[in-house]
Amino acid sequence: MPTHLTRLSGQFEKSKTDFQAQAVRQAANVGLPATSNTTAKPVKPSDITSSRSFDRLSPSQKGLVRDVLAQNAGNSQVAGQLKEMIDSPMFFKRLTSNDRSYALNGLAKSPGALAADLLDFTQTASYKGFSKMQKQQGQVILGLLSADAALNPSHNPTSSNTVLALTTGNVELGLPTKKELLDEGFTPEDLQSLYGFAYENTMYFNVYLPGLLDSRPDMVRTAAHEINHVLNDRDNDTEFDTPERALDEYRSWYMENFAVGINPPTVEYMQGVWENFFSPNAGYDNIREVYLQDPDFRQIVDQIKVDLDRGVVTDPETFRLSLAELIGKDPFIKNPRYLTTPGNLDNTLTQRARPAE
Amino acid sequence: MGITSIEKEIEQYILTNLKERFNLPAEKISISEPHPLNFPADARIFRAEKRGSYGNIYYNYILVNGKFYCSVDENNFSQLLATEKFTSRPRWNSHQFAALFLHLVVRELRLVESPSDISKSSDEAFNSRVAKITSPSLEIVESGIEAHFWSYQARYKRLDYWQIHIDSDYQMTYERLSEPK
Repeated sequence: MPTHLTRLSGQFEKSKTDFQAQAVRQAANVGLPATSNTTAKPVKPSDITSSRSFDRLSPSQKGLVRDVLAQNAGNSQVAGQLKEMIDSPMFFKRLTSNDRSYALNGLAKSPGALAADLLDFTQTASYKGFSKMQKQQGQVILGLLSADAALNPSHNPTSSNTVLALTTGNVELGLPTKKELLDEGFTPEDLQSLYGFAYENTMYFNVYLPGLLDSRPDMVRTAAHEINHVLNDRDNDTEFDTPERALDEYRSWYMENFAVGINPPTVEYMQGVWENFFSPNAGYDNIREVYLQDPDFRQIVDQIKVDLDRGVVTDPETFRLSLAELIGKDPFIKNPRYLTTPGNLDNTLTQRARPAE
Repeated sequence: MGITSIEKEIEQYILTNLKERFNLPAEKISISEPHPLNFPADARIFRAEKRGSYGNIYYNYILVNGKFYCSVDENNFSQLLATEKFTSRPRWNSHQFAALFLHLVVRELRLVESPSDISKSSDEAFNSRVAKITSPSLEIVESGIEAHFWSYQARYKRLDYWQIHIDSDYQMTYERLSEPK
């Protein structure tokens, strides 16, 4: 059975940063047994319904747990995560009754989600700042992302890193109201096709999009894409209308595929990206503008198209290194450091720089 | 290119407008002037982007005959057509009409006008809709304006057919459909 702790341990091995050590400790604070993934025997529904933790649940929470068990009869992973959640020391000590209901609901809506993800999320600043409705919505979204990451190991580490970013508060989650979305410049019609977006250190979902929660791959892609912007850009900002902004967008479009198990993206997909960025009727006005005005940049981008037409996809690091060769020669480059910094391609968490005093 | 090449009075108008509307300080805004395909020669578009938004948060300001129309304003497109008395002076073609709509009413969608504008997909149902894509159309009729065009959102492979009616009082109604009825 996969656990959050296992994920974190893997992360820690990979790049022993202070932040990741802190994340491991945070998971430990949740109270998960460190060996639960290797030696635990399958959990039966009666192990839950006869437990002391179950007795402490409210009548509606008990009903929810029974419903989940009935709907997932024979699925010991789901039962195991339910047990892990209600047996966690923090579940009754640190969560209000409403918080417990929202976390259980997150598991109920997304069988396969990890208890630790939903519990960790309750400790983030994002969650603590939410209204009751937002807390409920947030746990449903986290449940979907967590289940996808846990059930599709081929999507890892991108997918699990994306969840980790949100459940540790490294990247915050926002669920704006309709007025807030309109104030941010989205038109009412934009909201009919907007899944999410990022601003500074926060990943926002548009809960007004019909069917948002029914399109798990789109949601997983959106989260991976937007969080990739945050992790690459938040301390190394790209200016609008620059080659580095185009690279940042190219990388996010490329790597969101990893989160749904497509690595590398297909030639067909990247041809669509090229069209959307650089063709005469591009969807991104600002990126198209750099292409039109910057001949050095255009030469590199045109080569990407030539390569695509012969079936070769250019990866973002190759694109970055090509652009880095223009530093000092291309006046359109505003942030050379962005081009000399290796890109984050799998949403591995990074320590966020402290804001200037 | 960029904010330095935009006339100071235009820059100032947009910055003041965003400050009044959303209390956005000037230092949070970058302004550029893109040149989208099919944009009318007698119109200019300015993109005011919120810094730190990775290009996600921006406001389109369209300038026609000395008057600004902002993408966040309700009825902006109707007002533009009314101010320009479009039914009696229909000087924009169907492509230009669609380009204005796709920057004021809904954004980041590509105008597509033939099946070859979209890469083939493994989804046959999608391909059959792609096969129906036609060039945009615009007609001035007795009851107002009728316009149709297709748009594509590459991010989620969303293909839409837009059916727009503007009556003689410049009230706009539109439908966003998966394909023509």
